[in-house]
Amino acid sequence: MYNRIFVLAAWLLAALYEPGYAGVPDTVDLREVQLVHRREVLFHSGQQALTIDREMIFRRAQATLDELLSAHLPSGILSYGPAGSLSTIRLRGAGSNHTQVNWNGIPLGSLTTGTPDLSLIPAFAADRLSLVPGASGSLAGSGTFGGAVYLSNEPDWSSPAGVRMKTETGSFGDRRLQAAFRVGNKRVQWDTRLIHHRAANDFPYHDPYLPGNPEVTQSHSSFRSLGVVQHVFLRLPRHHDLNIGVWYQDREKEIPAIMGSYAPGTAVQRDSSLRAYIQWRKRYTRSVWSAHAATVNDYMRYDDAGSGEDGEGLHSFYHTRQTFAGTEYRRYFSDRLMADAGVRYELRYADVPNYGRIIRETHIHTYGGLQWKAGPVTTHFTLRKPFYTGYSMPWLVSLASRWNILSARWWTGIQAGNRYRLPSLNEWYWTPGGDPSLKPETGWNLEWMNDAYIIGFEHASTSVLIRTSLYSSYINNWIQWVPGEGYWSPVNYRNVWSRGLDMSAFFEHNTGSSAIKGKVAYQFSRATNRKVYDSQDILDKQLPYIPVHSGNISLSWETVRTGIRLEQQWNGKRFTTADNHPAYALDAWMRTDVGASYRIRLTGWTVELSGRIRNLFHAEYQLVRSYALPGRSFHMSVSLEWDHGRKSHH
Amino acid sequence: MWITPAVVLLLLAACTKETPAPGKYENGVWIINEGGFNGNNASVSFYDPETGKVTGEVFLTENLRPLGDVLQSMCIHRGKGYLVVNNSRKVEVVDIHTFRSLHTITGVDYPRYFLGVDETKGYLTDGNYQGRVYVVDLETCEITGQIPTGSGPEAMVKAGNKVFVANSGGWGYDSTLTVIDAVTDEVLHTVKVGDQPVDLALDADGYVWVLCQGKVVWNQNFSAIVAETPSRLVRVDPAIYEVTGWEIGTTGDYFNPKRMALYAPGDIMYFEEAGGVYALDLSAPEIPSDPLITLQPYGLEVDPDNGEIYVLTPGGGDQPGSLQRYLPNGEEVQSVSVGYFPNGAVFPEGS
Repeated sequence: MYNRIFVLAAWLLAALYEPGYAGVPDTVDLREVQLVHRREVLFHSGQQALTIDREMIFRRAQATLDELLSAHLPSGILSYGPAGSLSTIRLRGAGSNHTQVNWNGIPLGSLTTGTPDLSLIPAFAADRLSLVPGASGSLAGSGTFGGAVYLSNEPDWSSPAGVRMKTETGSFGDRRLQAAFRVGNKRVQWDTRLIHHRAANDFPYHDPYLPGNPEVTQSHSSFRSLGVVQHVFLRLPRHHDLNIGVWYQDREKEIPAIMGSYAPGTAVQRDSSLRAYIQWRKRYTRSVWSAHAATVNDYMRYDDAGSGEDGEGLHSFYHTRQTFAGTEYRRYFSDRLMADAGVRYELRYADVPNYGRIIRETHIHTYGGLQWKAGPVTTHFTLRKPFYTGYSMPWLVSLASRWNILSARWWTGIQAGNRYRLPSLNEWYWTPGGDPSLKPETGWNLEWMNDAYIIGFEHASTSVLIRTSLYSSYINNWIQWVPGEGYWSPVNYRNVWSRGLDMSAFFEHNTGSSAIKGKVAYQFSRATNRKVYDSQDILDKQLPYIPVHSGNISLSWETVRTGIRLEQQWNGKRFTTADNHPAYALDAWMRTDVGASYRIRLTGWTVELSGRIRNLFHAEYQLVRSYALPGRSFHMSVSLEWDHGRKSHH
Repeated sequence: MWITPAVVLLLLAACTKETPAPGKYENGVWIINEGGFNGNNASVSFYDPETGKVTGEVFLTENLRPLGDVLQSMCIHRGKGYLVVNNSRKVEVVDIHTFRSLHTITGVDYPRYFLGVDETKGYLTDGNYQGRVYVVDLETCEITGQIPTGSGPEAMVKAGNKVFVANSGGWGYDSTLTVIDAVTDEVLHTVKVGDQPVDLALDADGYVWVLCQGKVVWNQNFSAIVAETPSRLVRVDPAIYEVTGWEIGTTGDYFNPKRMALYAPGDIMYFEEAGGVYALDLSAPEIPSDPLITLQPYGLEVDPDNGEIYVLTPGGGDQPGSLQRYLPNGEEVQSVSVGYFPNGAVFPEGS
């Protein structure tokens, strides 16, 4: 019996390896090893992922997902303005609806556009983040040409109760508060989180679109958001686990005018989401059976007092709902072979005025995977077959193999697979223009990955890891809205070839009393049109907003009490139009953020005072053309942390 | 001290401001490139029909700053160009020979079209639901008054001492023209012409021609169309406001035309409808069943000197559009690339 558990645990521990921020996996408490890892973690373990754990998320508890990721992906986040503005993620030359964002298996992208708004997702809502560039379509389903972001919540069975709070005040009326309360025992855990954020965003900036490039103040740009996340984790007798989670998120924001406008914005948008899931799992000696159900309700209301057909403003409202149910079974045949299979049912509902009718759709996915370990080589094979009435959906296949050439020092691997994206509901049903006959976007990718310690080794006190990834991917039938006879319509517009190089150097030096960590990263990305629906003029042109060169540097030094950090992001020149017109290109920019913290312990509580300066050198730049961004800003925060029955994390 | 290329350009620009190169922008046609919404990439191109050469980004080149967001229209009046930049909520006033900015008219809400009324004033439509026409002092470029109109006023045309304003409905519905006394700025009359009048022209006989888009009315939850009317061409006698109309479109095709162009010397009206550009002989109006040009225009103009037809089409998404030039018989003369979302062309004053 114990041998069998050991085999299972060994398998799962092997699957745990997921290179993190500094190339080092998270600390694992052997007493509380999660016997079953999430599927996406297990099967993506052969790929290079960015992992941010509970502690790192708490350090950035005040951040929204776009803020959290922008430090790691300088060219991947496109924000349409300051905090609270629409922020999208674009990875590996793909579009904003080509990267999935999931929370405990629930997709957070808009059902109407397919695009997730990262500014609506507070990092503190989750315990763990994993970003997989170029994620497999066979694992994640529709829309992963760019990648996939997985957010998850996990119980902390090592501590029965805890409190975590952080409040931050910053320039331009930026106020943030996060609080988490956790209580329970070895069988049940109750976890409640509150997240509040508001900002006036009344920052000054220079407006090059106005005569004389004058300094003006951003107006009509405030917002407020509130999130409540509730979890109950149960460990029931006979190896049954039950996780229940509910998340309500609400934000109301003013939409400012773009730069160069002589009138302030007048529109206000409110986004509300209610998400809930329940997940059951039964662990057997060599297998795991799980089932889940989930629902997502998204509401959006848009009001523009400045126009409208009745003289009282323009108003629109929609409601969408996704309901999921599924089950999967995983079997460990030996310490070398594991396989799983599952099915997922999805019901989509949309009440969107411009669709002309209520939309109800059913999607079914069947999937399976295989993990095979032969000596130092671990291979993952995954398969998925989506079913949707009226479409002949392709089989999705992915193969990833990772070879540990030198134990704890050198890994190399390849991954290949095909991917797709089903058209969004707007692309199908918007009236007029929407086209139900649109073909799904399809494509495939090939990637080579290499991790090599040139100094030290994994978990060593001093190490330097060089991480390299070379990729090539095709996206065919890329859907784009184009002007047509009297209205715009989506068409299968272009075929794109995206290829590039991601290269990072991570270094770490621990002395016992202090630790220095650093990262230097560079990305080269070419994403060009190979075939275009109606024009030869933009063939081989770089896609808008994809910089050919980008990079970032981060450096931190920490002792038991103090910490300082520096982050620098650099983005090369970006075109904003398909013809790469130089007059409308955005200049290269570099932004530097610095921060410092001081930590004390008071009768079991850890209190941390910290400050940060965002955009230290007051760089003037635009992520999206014409959308103003703030210059230098100052932020001060206080955090409190208490974990019953556990020593300090630090 | 560092002197960047931009500073050098600024210095050069400042030095040359007093002595503009004569004839730099003469004998050509201005192409209005609306630009993508919120893209701040509106522009003006200068097209020389003789050589076929296009000079792009004229405003940016001459003023070293982008023109703005959504160039809805342009009007030349008494040596000045009035560029109505809708989503930047401004009108740029330029010297039409040098294209240097002279003034920026601000304090306008939803500017759409400008009309030079006389040597001292101009009218500017504000296309909101509760529409109005701003009165602009051409000397100071200040707004000196407002005239109430119907909903969503768009194009204007002057017939004698009357200015006709097309009340397009904007985001809502309207079916009228507002008639303004060009001397007193008072509303003289409201003429009912047809649903969603959007474009106007004055023919050689002094009649005002109106393009009415037609309307589509959805029920409250947009699940069904409760009313729909076809597009119409309407002729208005400006003296007695007598209205004569012709149906030019059909219902159910979601097509609502926005452009027409009149060649007054030849008495020919070109208008867009589903399928392309149609030609109507005004001396014996009979709606043609087949288009003269099977190209769907985003902008449609006629050269007032020779009757050549200018059809402007957008590129897909965020790529440049095109100007296609045709002889009056529909034979293509030339096709050139211009800016983003070209929606019109402006011919030299007095041509």
